[in-house]
Amino acid sequence: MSKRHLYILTTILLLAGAGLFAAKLLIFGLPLTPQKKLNLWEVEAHINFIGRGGPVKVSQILPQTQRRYSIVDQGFVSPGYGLSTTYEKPNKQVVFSKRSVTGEQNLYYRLTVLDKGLDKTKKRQDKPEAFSVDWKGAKLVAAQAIIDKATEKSADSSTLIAALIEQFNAIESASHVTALFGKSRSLELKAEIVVGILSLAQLPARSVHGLDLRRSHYQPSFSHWIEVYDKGMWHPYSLTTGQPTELTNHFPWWRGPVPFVELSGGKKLNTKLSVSWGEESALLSVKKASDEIEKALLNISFFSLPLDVQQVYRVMIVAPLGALLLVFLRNVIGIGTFGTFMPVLMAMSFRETELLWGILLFTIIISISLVVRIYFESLKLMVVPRLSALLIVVILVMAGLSILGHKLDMGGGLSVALFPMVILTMTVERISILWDERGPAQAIQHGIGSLAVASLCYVVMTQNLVEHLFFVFPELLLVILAFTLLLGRYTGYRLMELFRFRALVKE
Amino acid sequence: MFSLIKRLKEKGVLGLNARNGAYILPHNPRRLYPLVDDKLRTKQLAVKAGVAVPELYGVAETPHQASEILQKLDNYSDFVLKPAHGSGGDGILVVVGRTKKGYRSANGTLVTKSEIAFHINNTLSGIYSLGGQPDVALVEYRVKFDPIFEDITYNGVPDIRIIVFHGVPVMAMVRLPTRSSSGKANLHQGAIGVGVDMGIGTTLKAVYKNDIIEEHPDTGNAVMGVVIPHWKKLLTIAANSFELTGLPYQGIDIVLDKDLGPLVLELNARPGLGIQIANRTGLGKRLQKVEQHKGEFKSLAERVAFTQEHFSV
Repeated sequence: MSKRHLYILTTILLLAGAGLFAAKLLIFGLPLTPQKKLNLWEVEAHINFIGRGGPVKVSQILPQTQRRYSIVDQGFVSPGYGLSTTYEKPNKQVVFSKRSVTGEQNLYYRLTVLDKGLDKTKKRQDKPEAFSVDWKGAKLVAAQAIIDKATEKSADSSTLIAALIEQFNAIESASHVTALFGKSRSLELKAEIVVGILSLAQLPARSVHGLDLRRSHYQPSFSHWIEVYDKGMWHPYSLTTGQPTELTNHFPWWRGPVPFVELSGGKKLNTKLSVSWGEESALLSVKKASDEIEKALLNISFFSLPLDVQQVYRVMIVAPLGALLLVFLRNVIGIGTFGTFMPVLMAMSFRETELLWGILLFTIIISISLVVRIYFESLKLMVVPRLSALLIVVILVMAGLSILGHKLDMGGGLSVALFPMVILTMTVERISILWDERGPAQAIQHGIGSLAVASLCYVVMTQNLVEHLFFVFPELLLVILAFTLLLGRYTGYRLMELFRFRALVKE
Repeated sequence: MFSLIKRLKEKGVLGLNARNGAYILPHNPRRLYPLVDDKLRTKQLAVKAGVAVPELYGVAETPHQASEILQKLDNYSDFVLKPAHGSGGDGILVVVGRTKKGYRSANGTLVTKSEIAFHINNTLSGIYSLGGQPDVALVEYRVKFDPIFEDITYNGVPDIRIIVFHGVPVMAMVRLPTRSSSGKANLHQGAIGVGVDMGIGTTLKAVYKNDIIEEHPDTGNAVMGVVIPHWKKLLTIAANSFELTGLPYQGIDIVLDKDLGPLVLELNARPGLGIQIANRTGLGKRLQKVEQHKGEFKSLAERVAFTQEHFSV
């Protein structure tokens, strides 16, 4: 009865899991293998200043979702600051404020940008309000001279802009240009002046400030270009060539003559940017699919979660496979391990340290802590204080390894911080008790068994294909559940038992 | 490998998965486990049913009671300290006599009073218990074992493990401590397991660390052919354990005291499988036979008779 019940249950689970999987694969065309589509960028702005002791207000311009770029995720790290957002056309701003600020302050703004590709739709954009420049006297004369000269050489608005930029770049007209610019030749100022001159010529234009995403170096700076309103659309133009351009990989952050960050109540304002290329697989195709079906099956997927939560699930979702492997190795093969899930948890932390480093660090931590544990034995400590003391020792050893690894510039040492310390502590305790009661042979045997199982779990769990499959098709967990339940009723011999009982059939 | 599996199956050898999946999980209700996992409760149960057990000298449930017990122990020169929830013989301290400075343990080392107090406190904090929950410590009569096993025992108390299924004793072995088991009677700790003929209670060949042997490795005396005294009484006590706890599949550990006769040491809801190697027979066939006939027994005596008739070698 109970067995039939189990078979029916596992059949249902298998059918449900495999059915959903097949539907997503065949009908919605989700990719079976990970595809590298590099269209996500992680951008971080780091604002640094020194507080003067009084109230501080920092406003920073926020980017907005555009035709081509989507803001997938954004967040602030600003401990102790109040946050508010304001909207001053055409830009959105965030204002960080705090009543009393002294000393160095660090504010971080992080966002994830998705490049959706070129938007071919010709959606009309609103005509901008006309605005005027308040140039007078010599400045106005110089500007007028430049625009007259450019109009002479041009036939329409796009050739006018090209001629204008050409003048700016040419040295002979330096006198006019210098009259407008002064000595500064920054691209940012150039943008504003070009926009001003164009408004004199009755061409609505605006300056644009953004990031060149191609140059994802350590510290990129903002690039500047202009947009001109023509035939119902804004068209971007390069400030260096004057040519209309699609500006691939140029992510517009804000528009108009406003600074990126404004600070009141502090000094030594410093802004640093960083851009990194996200390697997101399959995201794009899934996003496309969910556009088509809209709120169908796929909306109940991990892709609807914020990116950082997705990252967590990417790791977590493969743990069940590790657990199934563990069940198999323990109940069918018969390998002894310390603790039920210790190998799976170790395998998960090996992801950060990589396998060889992980095994090495694990062995070092366990060995040193075991020596201390043997010494503790002679102190005759009670169990709870002894375990707590052991936890402290394990953390000390971990910290020591991290610092040593950092000093010697070995990346592996640092990642030791991600080892599960409580699991390590309990492992040391179990090893030492087993060592005392069953002898070193069995303790070492179990230790090696645990490491072997952890390594095997690691190898399986870190396969790109495995991670991709479970992340895109989480219903496969039902299949894993079915197999785990079936193994729960496996009553055959364990491989290791065959050796144990061998003597029984030898005659 | 597959022929090995086939031959083991033919012999009815039970693996851990089969023991758990086919016998323990389906037959033993979990609510009955505390009766055997807690040695104090087992003892109380046995006393109530009139089954002989080693006399309880005292119980320590708090560190404060530990010091009271130490005072009480001044009245005894030998005793056994054990955790109520211990498993596999772990955490048992056997004191065989007194010296000027303290006590002498079974393996010959000296133990001071403070070491005994530490042992009790360790026991209370759960270090020896299954799952590590807080435990209580028992102090009881030290068994003076029957001289019948004198020649084939090294430093410790030999006991007799009997597996009982639905009140029918199905397999038994004598567990003999050795030098490498440091006085303990558990096979995984290095004790010898000697098979027993269920009909008349004579010993068969033995297993020591997975090898088949005929002599005790420390004393050199033959372990085969020893006739266990009070055999029928032993079988009766074993069969009666089913009425005691209600657990259909259990192991019972009995020790032979030279003055008091058979005393029940403990019961076990998950008895080990090494007994099959000691008897060089699988448990599976005997268990199936009991399962076929379990409805036919009217009395305890019938069950014992069934054992002696069917499970004799």
